Amino acid sequence: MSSQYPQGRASSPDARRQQFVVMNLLLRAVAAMYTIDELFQWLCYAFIEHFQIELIEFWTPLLTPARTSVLHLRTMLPRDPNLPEQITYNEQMLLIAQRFAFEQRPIQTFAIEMLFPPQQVSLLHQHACHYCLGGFMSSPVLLPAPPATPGPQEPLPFALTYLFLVGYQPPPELQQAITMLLRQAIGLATQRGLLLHPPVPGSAVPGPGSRAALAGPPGATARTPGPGRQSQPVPLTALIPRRKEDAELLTSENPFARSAAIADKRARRLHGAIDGLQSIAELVQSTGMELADVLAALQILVKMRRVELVDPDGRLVSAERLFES
Amino acid sequence: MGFSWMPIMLAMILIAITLFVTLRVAVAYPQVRSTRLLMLGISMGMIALTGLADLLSMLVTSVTLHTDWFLYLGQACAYLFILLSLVNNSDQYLNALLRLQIICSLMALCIGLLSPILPDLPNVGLRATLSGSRALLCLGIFYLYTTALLKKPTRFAFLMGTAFLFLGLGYLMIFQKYFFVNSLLVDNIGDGLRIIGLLAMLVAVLGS
Repeated sequence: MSSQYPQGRASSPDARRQQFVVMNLLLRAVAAMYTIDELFQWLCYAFIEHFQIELIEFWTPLLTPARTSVLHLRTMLPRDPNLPEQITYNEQMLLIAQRFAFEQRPIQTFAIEMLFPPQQVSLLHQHACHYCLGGFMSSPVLLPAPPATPGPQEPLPFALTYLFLVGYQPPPELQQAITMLLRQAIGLATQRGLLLHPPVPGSAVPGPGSRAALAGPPGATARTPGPGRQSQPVPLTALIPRRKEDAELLTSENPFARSAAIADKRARRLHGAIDGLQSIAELVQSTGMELADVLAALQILVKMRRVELVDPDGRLVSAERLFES
Repeated sequence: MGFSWMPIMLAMILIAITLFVTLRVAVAYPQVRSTRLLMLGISMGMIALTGLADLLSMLVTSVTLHTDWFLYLGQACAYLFILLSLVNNSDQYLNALLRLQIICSLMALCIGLLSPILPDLPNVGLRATLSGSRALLCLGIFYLYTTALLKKPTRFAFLMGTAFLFLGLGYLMIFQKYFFVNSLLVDNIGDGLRIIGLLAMLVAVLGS
């Protein structure tokens, strides 16, 4: 990859910090969203604002009247409203989106010279678009059909192809931040009922926003095994922290020793707020703490063996491994 | 110093050390946030109060205080909850146990407050049973610390194990006084063992 273009503002640790900032904002904003398209739109604005992205496109499958599935530009937002449409929406963009959808990789970065024909490349350079990040995400949940489109309105299995055009050489942290945020956003969308669960044969479909809807959201960061049940991904923010006693405290470890104290103020505050019922997302709201602080505090508590994490079904999640990753 | 001073000295050491542990817990708990530690603090506070009641009954002669009910029941209750707090780590279990400990401790306190009007313990059998239960509970705690020590040898586990071993043996000696003629000697040996146990606990708590 060429490095003739400037290094990104969203470089480490900034990208990571911005990731937490956006996640924190999203946790608050998602409560007022009623469609997945609102969420997509919100994400576009947030990515452009916080990660200095020039153009974002979200592509999803669409059922045509002939009942064939095609890739459809669901949401698009340029940083510069004057960016000509011949750049943002054209045959080449569709081909690139189809390529990412076909390859199904989480995220890849290319210099635009590698994706676009020369005449388009110069046009993109003029608008500060030097690199393209693209990827694909899928999930067993269902995506409602886009509004005001012809053809069947039935939901399709969730598949998201995304393209980000940026003006700086994207650091690996930016790729991580994008994939992580998209996963978390999709998880939250499932919790909120913006994405739907496929009906289980012989059982009723859970309603939007129901607790059951937490069982198998996409964009997972944790997996919990269950007997007789396929392991399903759960978003980090949907996990529920539960207090526990350190088995060695007062038996082998001196509780009056300095090491036994929860020295971090945030960790103590979070420990006090943990009731075994609230998820991480709910704790962010109830404590008013930033998501980054909650996660940092959780990491401390997990390390001290004072907290364990369970999924919404009450199954234990390997918290140590989760934070290691 | 005559042998008659032994119970008073024991009571004062008991009060001093258990009160110190209680205060140490009160200081450490906001930082450590351990239910098990809180339960140890309540237990030690209860033992301190029983020691105080025992001391008062020895020193105050104008009123007859039947503090033995409170002494035996309060201490048995305190040791029982220390023992139970060490057998399980679940937050739910410990919280339920803490609630139960608070209720039991309040009931024991009520018995303590009723000392002036309560009758004396009716017979030696009941007295021996109530007193002897403390030996069993302390030896039970000693067993748990020995298990912890075998799993992970630490200074704290060793000292706490030693403390409860000597406390258990001390109570076991006292238990025998109800069945032997030379009860004063047995009583004093028991008190001496308990003092060693309490000092071991103090060293455990002081070390950090």
